[in-house]
Amino acid sequence: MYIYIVKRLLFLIPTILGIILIIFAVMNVTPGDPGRAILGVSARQDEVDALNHQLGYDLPFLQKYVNYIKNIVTKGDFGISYFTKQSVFDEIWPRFVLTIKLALCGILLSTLIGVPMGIYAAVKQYSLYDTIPSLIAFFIASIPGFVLGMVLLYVFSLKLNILPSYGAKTIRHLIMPVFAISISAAAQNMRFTKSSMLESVRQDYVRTARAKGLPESTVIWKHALKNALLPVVTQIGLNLGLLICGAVVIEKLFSLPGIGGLIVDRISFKDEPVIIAGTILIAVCFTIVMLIVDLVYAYIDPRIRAKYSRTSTK
Amino acid sequence: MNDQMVIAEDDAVEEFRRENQTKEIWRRFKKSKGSLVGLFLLVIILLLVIFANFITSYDLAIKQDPSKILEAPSMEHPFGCDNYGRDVLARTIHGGRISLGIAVLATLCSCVVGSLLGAVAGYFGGVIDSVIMRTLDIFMSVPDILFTMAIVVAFGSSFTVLLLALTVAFFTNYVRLVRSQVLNLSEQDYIEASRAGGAGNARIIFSHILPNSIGVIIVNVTLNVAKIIIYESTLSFLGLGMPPPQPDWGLMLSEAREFMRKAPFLMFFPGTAIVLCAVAVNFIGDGLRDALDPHLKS
Amino acid sequence: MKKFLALFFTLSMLMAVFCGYAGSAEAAENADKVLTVRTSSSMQSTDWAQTTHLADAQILWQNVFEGLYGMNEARGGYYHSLAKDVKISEDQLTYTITLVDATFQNGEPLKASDVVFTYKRALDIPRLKYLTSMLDTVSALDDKTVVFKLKYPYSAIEHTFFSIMIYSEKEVKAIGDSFGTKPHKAGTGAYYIDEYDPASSVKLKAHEGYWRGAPNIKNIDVLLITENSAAVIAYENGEIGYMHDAPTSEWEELVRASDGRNKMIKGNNVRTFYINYESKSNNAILANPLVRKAIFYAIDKETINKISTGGYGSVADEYMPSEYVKTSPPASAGGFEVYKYNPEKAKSLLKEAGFTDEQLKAGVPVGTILTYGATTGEKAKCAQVIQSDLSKIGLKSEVQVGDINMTSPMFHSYEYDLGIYGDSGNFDFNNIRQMVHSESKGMDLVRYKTDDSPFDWRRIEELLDLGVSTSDVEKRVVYYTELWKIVMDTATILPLINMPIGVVWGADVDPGAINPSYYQFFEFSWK
Repeated sequence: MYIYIVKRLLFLIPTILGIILIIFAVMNVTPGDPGRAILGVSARQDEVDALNHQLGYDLPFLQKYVNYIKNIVTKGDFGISYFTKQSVFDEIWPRFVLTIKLALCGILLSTLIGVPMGIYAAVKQYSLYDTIPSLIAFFIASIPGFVLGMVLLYVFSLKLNILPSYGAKTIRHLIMPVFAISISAAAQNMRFTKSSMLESVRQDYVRTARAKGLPESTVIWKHALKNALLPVVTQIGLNLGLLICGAVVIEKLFSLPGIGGLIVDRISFKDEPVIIAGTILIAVCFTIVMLIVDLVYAYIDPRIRAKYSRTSTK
Repeated sequence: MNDQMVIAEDDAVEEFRRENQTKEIWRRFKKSKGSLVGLFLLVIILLLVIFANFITSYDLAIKQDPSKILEAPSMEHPFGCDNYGRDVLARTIHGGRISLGIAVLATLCSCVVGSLLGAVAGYFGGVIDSVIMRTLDIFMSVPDILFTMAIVVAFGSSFTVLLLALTVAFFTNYVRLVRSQVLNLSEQDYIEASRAGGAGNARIIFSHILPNSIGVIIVNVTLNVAKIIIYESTLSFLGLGMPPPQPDWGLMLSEAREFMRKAPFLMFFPGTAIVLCAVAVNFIGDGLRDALDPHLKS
Repeated sequence: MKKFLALFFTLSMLMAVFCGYAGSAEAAENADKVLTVRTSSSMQSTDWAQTTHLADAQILWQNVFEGLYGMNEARGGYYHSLAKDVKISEDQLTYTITLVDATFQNGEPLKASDVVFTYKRALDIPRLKYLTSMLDTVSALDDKTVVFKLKYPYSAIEHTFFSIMIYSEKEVKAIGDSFGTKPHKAGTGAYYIDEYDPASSVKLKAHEGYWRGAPNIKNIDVLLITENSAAVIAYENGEIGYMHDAPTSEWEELVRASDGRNKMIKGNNVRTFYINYESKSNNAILANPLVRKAIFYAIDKETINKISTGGYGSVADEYMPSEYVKTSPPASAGGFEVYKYNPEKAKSLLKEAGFTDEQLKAGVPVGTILTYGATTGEKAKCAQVIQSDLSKIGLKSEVQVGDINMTSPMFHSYEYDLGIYGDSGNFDFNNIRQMVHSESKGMDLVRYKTDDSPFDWRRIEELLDLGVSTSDVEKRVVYYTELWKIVMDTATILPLINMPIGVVWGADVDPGAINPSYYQFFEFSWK
């Protein structure tokens, strides 16, 4: 088991190297440079070139790649932002924490809303308890997140004036953004749970359990549910990626200083150090969550657990 | 000679099976009311979009009239006029061409690229599989929106650039999906049989494996069309969508944003169009999933 | 009588005590009060020289740092700020400036050596070359006197004295390389940066030893609110005390919420339309002056203004608004062509150029209108209106809105057909040099000096030099009128509109006079 975890974490290293390579490559093939972006349209080309040189942007692509990795490995240094000259780590960390807070709250809320509703809808299939929530979930999942965010902004900030419209100072500031990013994930969770639950109810062992004369609630909660939750757990893990992407828009809408918004802002400045470090953090986070998902999976499903323990004893 | 006959026979059997299957799927698809409603909606939307030129001319969608800026809906302009004094009805109908066009094309492109990669990875296995899947892992841990942005910012937004960006963002789903299908199918007897019959790799992939995993792919394709419609409007919100002035739902929505309080109808029409399309496609996707689900075959 | 006097004194003393008490209570209350100001982009640096955003300059210039000269557009141009007295030599090559008794925020007195240090630092920054290239030497005569020697007479040097903000040598050296990335007390301005978090806010605190007196407002929070509608809502909910350049799309809501505490003024900026006469598009159709003039006459600036600013902006016939820039030739004097909207004339010019009715009916392609910024931004809107205007006279064009990174090389290497460009913060007409002088290659959008140039570029460059050879404003305006007449006759640059600057403030704030570009918190007070 531990070996498996260590192996997965070790795989992070080539992943990160790959990410750095991809980003340098993408930045390299796309036109534009930080010098021009920082100095603006009216700057002269020689000034722009001078600034690019000063920033180290004009180095050959491979040399930049090697230097970057060397600095991280030997000094733990993620470099200095081209744009603000701040240490990249200082700039990114607080924003990363905020985004993760937002995403985790989003996962929690979307799971708490979506999964129970999905189960309930599956149990009461074809009744009004199924069709109405399913329909609503359908519509909500089809609304772009920013439209929902704008509606929230107008209702709760402007009309009711009970929630602040910008910033991330207090918990109250986070209510609307969390709600806005989790609502469509909740709708997806609900649909996913429902279909997974329906599938699991049809399995042979559930039928066997029913045939044995076990009470319906035991059949549902003990037998069907446990199996139905397996794919749901993966779905919830995958939601994290979705939420981080969704957060970009919500962060912009609610003026939240999050990492998604930061990376997106800096793309047009070609602020490579910030873009790379931010992406690495997100990737590490994503990998860890997927690892946790796998572990939870193993915990729920004894078959998989058995497989892991076998491989680890080999 | 003999070998070819075996394969030909195989194909004929399969064709027959497929025909029967289609009927069966349609029968099951019909059972769910949601998917029929979705299909109905989508057909209407598609008709409106395809015959847009007969309903209202494209000129009307781009013709500016300063005296009608932000005019509320009226008999003359049932959907009102936007901030340039352009007819919103015409823009919504013609906008569907670009929005749906790009969604469908991007889905197809990402599906083709992703499925091919997945099929190759699953079929050949070994080093090729590892290389493709590990690269994919890296791709998947980078947020989609980053690639999309990098591409759009660098090359400027246009139909082709957007198509490329959306393809890059969405192809990863298909790789995993098709690969797992291929892994399952490769162990099936008839694949073994045709391989024994001397069929080449490409032939096996194209004539046996891909057609057999088409069901799963179709479901994913439909659901992805909805996702792309929404994603494209989000890109427009970030200023990375289709360039003005041609109408596009995402662009219309982002143009209307400034006037949300003054002229909410400007957001309402393209917004509704996006939601309706996404709902319709999602309904169909769900219906198809149920129809294609082997567990339901009873 | 004595009794009366005694009573009077007692009373007045009591009054004084009472008032003094009341005054100090009010002062104590004001000391904790915070003015919240909205900004729409995160501050790039706390060093004025390292940021290029106008929004940052609005905070850093004049509030945190000060130059030798100050700028107040509302009251008309430059005034002496840190410079107490300026002596100009006969030949206009030597400026001897005595400094006021100012103190830096770190408590150090302002010395001539700080000024020399600042200018040396500025000379090393290539981006500031346009401000410093005329300087030969800067030296300290004594503790309070600085001598500037110029390479050639340059009357627009006022702009340099305004734009170069004086640092405390000691503070900058103490902070070292990381200067600009953290709070500091290196300026002489009325406020110093107390907290700096580029992600969300900048906190300013009053510099009690400010040389013009302690500021009335003690604490200022500059909050980053990226979304316009969120900022408007925040203002309506009373969370914002001052908002400069408020969104015009929701101006009506702001006016309603501000209860008279608002002002909409003409900005000191311009959105201009360019025609690249060297464009190869459609067999170099734009090389034909008749076509260029037809295009200019076809452009309906009123409609552009209506659509891109909601009608709050103003139609621009001058490159720099003459009410803000005193050296800018006023259009009202009629010294140059302004191409008043005249589609009929445009059509007849096209006929004169040899285009037939059939050709025009089918649409004659003239190329792409290139611009940058947001797809919903004012420049993209200008481009779309112009596209529509051109189609009305039979010219067909495309619109391309690109990222600034992608478009600026296209503009500056003359690889575009038609373009929309924005310029702001010009306070001296000499700044037009960067658009029309051949030495400004890389900054300009039209190349007037070529081997077979159809234009009188020699006279343009001559007039630019003449313009800075004298500090007599009237004479300068005469030169610049002739210069601008030549430029307008080339039909390559057309000023379109001035963007409006809307300002709203809170119920307990008095912002003093409203300036289009720079505001000074020192002039603000609590009501």
